[in-house]
Amino acid sequence: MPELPVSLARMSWNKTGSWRSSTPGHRGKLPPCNFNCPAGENIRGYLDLMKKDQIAEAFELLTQKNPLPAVCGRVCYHPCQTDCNRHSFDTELQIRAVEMLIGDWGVQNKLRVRLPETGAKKVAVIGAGPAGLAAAHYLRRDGVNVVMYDENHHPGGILHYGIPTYRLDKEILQAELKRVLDGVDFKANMRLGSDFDLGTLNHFDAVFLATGAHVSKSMRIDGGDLAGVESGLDFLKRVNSGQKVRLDNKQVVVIGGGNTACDVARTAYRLGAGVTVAYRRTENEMPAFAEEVEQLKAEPIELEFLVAPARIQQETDGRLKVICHRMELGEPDPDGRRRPMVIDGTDFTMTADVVFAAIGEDPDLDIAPGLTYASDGTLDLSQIDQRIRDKLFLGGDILPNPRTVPHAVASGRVAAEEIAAFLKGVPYERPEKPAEMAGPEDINFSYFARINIAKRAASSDGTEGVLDEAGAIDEANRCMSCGVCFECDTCYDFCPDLAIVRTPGGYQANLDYCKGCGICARECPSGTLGMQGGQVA
Amino acid sequence: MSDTPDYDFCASHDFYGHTACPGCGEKILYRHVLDVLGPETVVVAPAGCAAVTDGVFPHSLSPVPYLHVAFGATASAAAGVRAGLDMSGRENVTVMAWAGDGATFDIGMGALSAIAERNENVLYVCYDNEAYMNTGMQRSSATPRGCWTTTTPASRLKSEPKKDIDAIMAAHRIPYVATASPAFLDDLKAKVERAKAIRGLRFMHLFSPCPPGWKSDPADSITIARLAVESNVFPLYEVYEGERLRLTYQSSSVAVSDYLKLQGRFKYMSEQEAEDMQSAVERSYAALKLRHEKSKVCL
Repeated sequence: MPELPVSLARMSWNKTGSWRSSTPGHRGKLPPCNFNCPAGENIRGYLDLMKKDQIAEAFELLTQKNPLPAVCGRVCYHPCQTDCNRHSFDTELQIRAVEMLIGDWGVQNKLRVRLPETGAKKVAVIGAGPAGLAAAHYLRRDGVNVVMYDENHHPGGILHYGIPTYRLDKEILQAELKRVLDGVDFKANMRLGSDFDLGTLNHFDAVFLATGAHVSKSMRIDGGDLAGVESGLDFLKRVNSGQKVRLDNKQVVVIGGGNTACDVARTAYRLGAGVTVAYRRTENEMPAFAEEVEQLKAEPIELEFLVAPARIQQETDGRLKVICHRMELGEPDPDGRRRPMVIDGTDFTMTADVVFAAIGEDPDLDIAPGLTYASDGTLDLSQIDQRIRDKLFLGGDILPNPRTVPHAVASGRVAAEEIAAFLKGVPYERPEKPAEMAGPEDINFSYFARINIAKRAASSDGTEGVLDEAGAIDEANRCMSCGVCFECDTCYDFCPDLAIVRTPGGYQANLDYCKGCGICARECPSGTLGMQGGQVA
Repeated sequence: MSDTPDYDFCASHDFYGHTACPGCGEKILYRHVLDVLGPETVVVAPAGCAAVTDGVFPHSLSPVPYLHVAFGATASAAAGVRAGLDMSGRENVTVMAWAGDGATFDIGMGALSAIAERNENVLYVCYDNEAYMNTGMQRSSATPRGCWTTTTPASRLKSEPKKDIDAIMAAHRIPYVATASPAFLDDLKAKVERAKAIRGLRFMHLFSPCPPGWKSDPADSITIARLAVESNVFPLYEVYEGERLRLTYQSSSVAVSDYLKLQGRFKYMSEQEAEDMQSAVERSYAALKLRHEKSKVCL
């Protein structure tokens, strides 16, 4: 016996994992930005790359899901920012500005996508709006021959002919379209239904139909067809086509409360008109995006709420008398918005030189004979020749999708994946979205309060919503990586049992020793870790 | 997370299988302190949670020599080990006493005061879980006022305030006194680095959450430690030569009640007692702040 008893063996034989009643694991929650992005962008992913000053990689990751970042960085309604958990801490991240910067960087550096050789398969894409562009681009990237048809001279659809230049610079658009259409055979001025029809496309292996929704709804009132009463969308198209449209000292009334109405009103104002927007409900019910409404209100444009046109008359001097009802809100409609009701005896008259109707748009069904809507809102394709129908795919605003650019882009990209699978003869499965997003209750704010995190970035000249590269990196540094591990070592450092193991790209619990105390999950800054079967949810 | 060196001494030396309770603060502290001190270390430990949970004979968690000594003899034994090492020419080895609050505030106080007065070249670390947790949660002189323990039950909560061990040790004019918390690991490791580099007696007082003794959720150990610092119940500071005091963390002045409410041991406290604790905390923090400001002028 030694003078002192000595322990020479270690304790690792003692597998304390057997004490455990709950186990740490990944919760699999999505960051709110990724969760809410209609285009399916991995926003958290490219913010992380920006943080590491890897803008080329950020561009690559972003354009895997959205080929139009410079466009979307300008026109998207950025739902990515709505639920940003940074809201509960200081202010949300300016994700849209970061996206725009990455997109512009791609444009400035004239980046091209490396395209594979095309194979034998050929796909026709009809409609060069956001959905058609995305579908054509991703199919071409997949090695498919793509022929794209559009009734207009320029590709872009609503991006070129609908969105005003003060919201989307034409040079940026054209530069981005050039990249997106690289390798795609674009056939301009080809209108489906008049210049060609679906039957002539039988030699294609698949056909993607994305002709959008650009037929203005008619107001269906007396005088709705008078000269001087015009579709707002047609007006935007004329302006965006470069036609000289003059409205100096004219009085314009815009009917409607959607995004088109906002664009029409602001465009008319820029052309010299005095503008009044008449909407039959209140600001709360306006279908336009909140930001567009704010911008509309910031301009010297008159807004008349709870007003609906009853009839329009032409005066002898050619001017228009718009006789309107005052309205009040009644019971909610099926869509949840309260129905406007006429208040009797409140009619009044507005005088205008031009009236623009912007009360919504419908898809153009004249493109194929027999095309109608089924009762559930989807298109009834039963009258289409079966040889075409079997390889026909639809996308964009022709479907009952939310009518936004990112939704259309996603619809085009998903269609490209679906068509690619169809061409290979394999079944297509839509990737399932995790059901939950990481909310503020998942975030350990105390961690972010302690690390020296950048202040909300601003551009050098102070323009709201615009960042330079350094500013975008600062902004990316504010990201809290909600629900996604960012390898901060918090779980590793705080484990009393050293039972968290670093693995490439993250951590794993060593279940031989993890006692299930739950400190790792409680302290995880981003809410990535959770406990299963125990007290920490 | 930080720019500090990658401390992986324990992780690369089979530091697994100890028998501490889930969520134990002491084992988090022990691992990070050893990570900084490295292999050239001897640990001297009296009876206490750490000694019991280090392993069952003949096994030990520690990747360095770990000497178990009598409860009251920690400081003397550490001084003895130091003398032995010095005589065999191993002055580079750090001797660390690793003792709980019972062995430090109560039972080992005399020996500790003696080595402090002699300024022995020892790093004395007290992991403070504010009672004799290992033997069944009996109160110690580190237990705060108004706290439940098995010897201060709900009908007679502890009525005496916690002993200010840091002031006592600083009053010995030893080279270095520091407080640290497992919730602030960068601060903790920086202080251990500083202590390691200093010769003479260095005293570190570490806040050590104890889920069974504090009647708290094991998952909350770090949250509680953080709130103790943020509420100024356990401020982070260091004192050089018993004079210059430096607060090492600017707390965000969380209410003491936020700290109390996560722990069952405080649930019998009356509102008045909680308010008294809040004002006592404010007073002692104000005094620390004053010394911090004055020390800045002295520098």
